[in-house]
Amino acid sequence: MIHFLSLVLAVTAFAALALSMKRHQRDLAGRTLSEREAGRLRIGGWALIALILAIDIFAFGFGYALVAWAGHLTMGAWLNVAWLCWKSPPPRSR
Amino acid sequence: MKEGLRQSMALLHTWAGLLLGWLLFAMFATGTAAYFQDEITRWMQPEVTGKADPVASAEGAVRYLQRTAPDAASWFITPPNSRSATTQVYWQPGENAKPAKRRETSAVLDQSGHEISTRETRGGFFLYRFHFDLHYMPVYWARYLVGVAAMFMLVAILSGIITHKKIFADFFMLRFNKGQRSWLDAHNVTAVIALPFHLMITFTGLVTLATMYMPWGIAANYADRSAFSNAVFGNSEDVARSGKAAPLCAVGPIMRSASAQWGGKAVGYLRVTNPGDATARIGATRAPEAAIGSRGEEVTFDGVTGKPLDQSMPKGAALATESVMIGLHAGRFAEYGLRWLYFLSGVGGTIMVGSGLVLWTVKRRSKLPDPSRPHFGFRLVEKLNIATIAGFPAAIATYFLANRLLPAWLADRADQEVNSLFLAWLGVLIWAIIRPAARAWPEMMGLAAGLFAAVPLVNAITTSRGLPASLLAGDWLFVSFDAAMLVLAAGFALGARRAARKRVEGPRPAPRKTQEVMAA
Repeated sequence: MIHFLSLVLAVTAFAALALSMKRHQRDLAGRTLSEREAGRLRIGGWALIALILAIDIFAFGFGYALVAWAGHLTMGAWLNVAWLCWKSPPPRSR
Repeated sequence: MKEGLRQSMALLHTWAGLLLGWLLFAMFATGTAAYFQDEITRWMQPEVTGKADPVASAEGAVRYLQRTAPDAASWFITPPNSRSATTQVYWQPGENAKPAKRRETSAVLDQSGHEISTRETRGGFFLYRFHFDLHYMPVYWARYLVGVAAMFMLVAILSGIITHKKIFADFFMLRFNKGQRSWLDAHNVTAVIALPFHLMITFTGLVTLATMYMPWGIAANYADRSAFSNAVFGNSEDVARSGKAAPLCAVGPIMRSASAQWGGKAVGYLRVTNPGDATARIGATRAPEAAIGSRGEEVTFDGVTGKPLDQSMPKGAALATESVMIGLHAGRFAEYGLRWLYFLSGVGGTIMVGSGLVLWTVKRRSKLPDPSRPHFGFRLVEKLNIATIAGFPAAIATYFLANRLLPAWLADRADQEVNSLFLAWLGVLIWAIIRPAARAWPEMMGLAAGLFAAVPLVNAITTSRGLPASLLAGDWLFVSFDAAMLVLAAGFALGARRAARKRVEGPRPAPRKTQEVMAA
């Protein structure tokens, strides 16, 4: 269960980080975000990453948590890559 | 100056990655599979069902060994862990016994201490051993080769971080149907997303065999290796048999007492020296799955009275670090959630190596003087890529199929399963050599897809634990295995379709102007 919770949070964290990057905003949000919004998303994303570490430490103990945390972040990032592939305009632009 | 560094790192990255890249691909693939070696073994022994109690199994193993090898110098018992159901035993024959092959001094037992009557197979254990011992060659040379490959990998990762400078800006970038750009994306994204894993796994992989690769510290300080291991691990020295017979005490209470000393962590391993003699000793080692550190604590008991004698000395910082690094690499401590994360990171690593190998050819094809007649080096890399990236997975699928299809009475059946893996691999290599690369790619990817898809099918036909039955029975291990085979089949089918489409479209488009000066 903790794995699932951490994974959901990791997906959210990386989604926020992706949204804070200019190049992904049009695909994901449909518009460009203001500097301020992007800044908030960046802070929020990193805060969530820290929160996942805290949750993992609380659930698993320090050593195990570090390994699990790396795994959760990896999967969270992967799912965002998949999401972006899905949302990007169809690559018929050859 | 900066460009100079990047250029030289690019050169280093390209060649360190390429030279042993095919071996690295096979190491990554088998290492990834080895995270589920116990599950693979269980799938390959479909006759074995249910769980086994470690204590009852150890007692059963002792009964077996008392019947089979009562005067052995020592017995080694590995009771089942939380993921396996069988007990492995191995014994060292006594002084007067004639030398025997390993196969004659080892057995796989069930909980009651009888040899299991299942098809002969090396199961997932073979994939685990291939990961660092390879096959058909002396283990000693294999481990050096694997060590050099791992060192190249470490160099390739570090130089790759400098070379692919945009990996963090391109963190989420995976664009399909863009030729070279897509391959670069795939390589970058698999590398960067699991970068902590790749660095950890490569470095700790080297640490697992560090004392073999760098023996001089030990050579300078100890008379020989056994003096070193006695000093560091406190292995009790061999005691001669007294000749006075005495019954061995029960191992159950010993396992419980050891476990209680470690705060309830299970015993993973028992060693009985001089069984049946008044000088008998029983050593219990903590299970590797009970903590990250893989070198568990050990307690020694008097084998007749069952009284604890001594404990392994507490580890120094260096030894504890080594123990944790090996544990991190092997991931034996990981429960299923984390185990899947390990596995998926390993899959990412395998794709990273594979896409890097393909990238080498994709980058160079457009620069060839005559793309229809590439030079020898280019053809060699291309054909080895096909034989490895499509061929090695196809060979693993063949290994699983052979497990179901080879008859149980076949002599040396376990070896024949392994041989079938390498025969399939050789077959793909030959196919890659005789066919033009553009045709061989989709054909061999298609073959891999077909073989993986055949595994659940053949499993359903030849055993009573096919996918429908295992789904109904809630047999999640078999369900997951078959599902993993189908996912792999789908992945390779997709790859085959893309490779085939590329061929129909004719020669690749000229280099795009967005193409960066980036080595891979």
